[in-house]
Amino acid sequence: MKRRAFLGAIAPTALLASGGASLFLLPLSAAAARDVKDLIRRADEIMRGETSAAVMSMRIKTKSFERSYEMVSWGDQRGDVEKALIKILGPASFRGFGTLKVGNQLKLYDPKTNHVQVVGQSLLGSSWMGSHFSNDDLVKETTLADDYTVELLGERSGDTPFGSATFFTVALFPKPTAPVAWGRIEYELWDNEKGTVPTFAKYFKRRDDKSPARTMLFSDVKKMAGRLVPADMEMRVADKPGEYTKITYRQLKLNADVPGAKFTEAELKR
Amino acid sequence: MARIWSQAARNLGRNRRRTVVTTLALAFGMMLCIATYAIIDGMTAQMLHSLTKYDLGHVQMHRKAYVEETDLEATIEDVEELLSIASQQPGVVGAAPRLYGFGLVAASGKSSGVGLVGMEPKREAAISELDATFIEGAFLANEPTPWGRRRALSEKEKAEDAELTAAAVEDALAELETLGSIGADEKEVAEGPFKTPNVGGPALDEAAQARARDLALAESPRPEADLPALIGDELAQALKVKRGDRLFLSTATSSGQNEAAFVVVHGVFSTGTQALDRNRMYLHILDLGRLLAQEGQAHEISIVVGDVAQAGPIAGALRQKVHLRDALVRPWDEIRPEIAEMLKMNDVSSAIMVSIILFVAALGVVNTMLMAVFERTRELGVLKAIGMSPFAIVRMMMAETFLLILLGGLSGLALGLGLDVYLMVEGLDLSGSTGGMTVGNVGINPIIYGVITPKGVILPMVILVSITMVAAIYPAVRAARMQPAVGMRET
Repeated sequence: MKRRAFLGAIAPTALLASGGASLFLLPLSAAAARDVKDLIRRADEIMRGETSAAVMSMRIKTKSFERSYEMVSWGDQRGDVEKALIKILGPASFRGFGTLKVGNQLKLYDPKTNHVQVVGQSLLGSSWMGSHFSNDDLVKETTLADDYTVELLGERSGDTPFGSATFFTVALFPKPTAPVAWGRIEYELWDNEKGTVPTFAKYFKRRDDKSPARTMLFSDVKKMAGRLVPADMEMRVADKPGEYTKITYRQLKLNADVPGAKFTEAELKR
Repeated sequence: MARIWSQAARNLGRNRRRTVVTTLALAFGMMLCIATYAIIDGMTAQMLHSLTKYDLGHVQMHRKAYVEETDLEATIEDVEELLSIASQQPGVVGAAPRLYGFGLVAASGKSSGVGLVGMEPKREAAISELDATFIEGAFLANEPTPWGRRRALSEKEKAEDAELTAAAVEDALAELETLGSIGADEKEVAEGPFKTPNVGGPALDEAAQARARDLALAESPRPEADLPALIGDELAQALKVKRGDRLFLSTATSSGQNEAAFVVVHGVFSTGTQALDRNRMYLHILDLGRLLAQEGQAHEISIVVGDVAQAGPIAGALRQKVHLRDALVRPWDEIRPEIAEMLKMNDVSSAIMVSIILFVAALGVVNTMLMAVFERTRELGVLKAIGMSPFAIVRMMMAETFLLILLGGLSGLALGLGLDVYLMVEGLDLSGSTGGMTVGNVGINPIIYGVITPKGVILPMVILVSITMVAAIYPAVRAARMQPAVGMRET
């Protein structure tokens, strides 16, 4: 079973196609929605051999600054290891910054020094490009189906811009051996014949925590790459009130023939 | 009056061997006490010196938010003004500004997190002895690296930049459109030749690329050369670098913007304090300031005073004069209270030790005096019988004791001072086989040089005299209370 890293969340394969992103929920197949565990596994399997390409913007608001980047990202699940490349398109002081992930190795490129930096242990905890995601978030790979046990918390009907749907609330608990940072994940998604779309995900440090350490909100559902996708994903961190990192997809392509040569140092430095 | 003393002297002369032995015991105890104080005071002075000479200084000024929340944005902006206030304060030897940051340095595959310290070489040299610890290379030059000026983009440039970004986004979107789907020939696509001509992000034309570079440089200019940096020997070892080697330094401004630069090892120092030798990188304050977009600012002003004991009062005086927003002016013992406590503990424990040594010596004196009383039972009986008052006898015995102590104490003083001089010159090597030595994470010189202080000489003397005089009351009173008839019956 392939493990999915969070970088995939930014490079949207993991978010959408795989169902395996450590932080994200994936659209599930409506037909099997009732057997949640089976769904999660299927979602993982859907992903095999897929690629992704996306143009998006990232908006970061913190106590000391507010800024946004335009980015292009590429993801590739076809090989033995997961690969992803992100390039910043603007504004001026960030243009050309690159992040390349091959397996669990992360490289950062800064055009101003023309230097490729391999992210070592000591840097894993620090923020990626000033956002609320850490480098570790990008590298860590977990699989919902393999690393978590799933429990259906509730089910209700509700309205969505795409017609009425069934909303599921699910709790995920890490298996004892799983290399995951969370004690519990709670997420909600809706499901109808048009698609399966997450609405929020809450990440708890400990199994019994009342309030989540991180919250991911999904909104602005659009049809992209032939399926319903939340174009906006906003992350909030509990201990930094008022701050957020928000990713907005402009365009998304899945299962496109992304060339393998994308994920090389030469491309990182282009 | 004089008769009492001559009598006391004569009595001591009666059993010379015993007097000499007791005197020697006292002298030896006294010598040890004085030497102990010299070593302890020497150690204290050395620790304080080690603590303050490289890093701390004696008094520091910060903004509260920096100290309490490590808020790197809480910088002192009117650095020059504070420096001049500090250096005009009587008793202050020098003051220097410092700017702090965090970074990651990497060289040939090895990397390490470091605390970045921006300092002004000329002023730093006046307050710090770092420049004396170089094992390779030397202190930084006074001049910073030439560097373009950082500026915000004008409205026009911002619009231009937004256009460049929009063009790049368009390009990226167009590139996405050119991608076909993975079809039957999936395998071939995955492994086959690189087909798509325009991969890899924005294809801005050359002019646009140059313009984009200009805009980026305006917002975060590059230095014209590698930044000279000083690192400790342990860091140099960990990174396997030496003088002249190039390191890649990545850091972030307080507003979260990634910044990076190449630095070149200009010097390698070795202070013996691990926090400095392993985890520090010194840069010119203007170099670091430009890298972190905090040019001309400082987090700290470190002040060195002439007399360490005056650090507290001087900090108090400066506190009155500095009108900095949420200023925090603290002497070293408030910055490192644990070390101040430890030094105080040293003082107490050495007083206890000295008291014990002298108490043992005093027991010898009591023994001698008791012997003297027993020996002279007859004589004392006669003296009482012919009308000498008990008080006069006590006085006589006490005078004898005092003379004995004086003899022992003064010769001990002479011996002790002699030993002190040796300790001052030669020092006491505590290193054993290990070489380095740290106390409270502060590296100190393992060779302790003695320091003679008035306290270190007077205190043992006072303790000796008071313990012994109190102890001598017992034999004296015993002599005074003797029944004349009983005493005279003794043979």
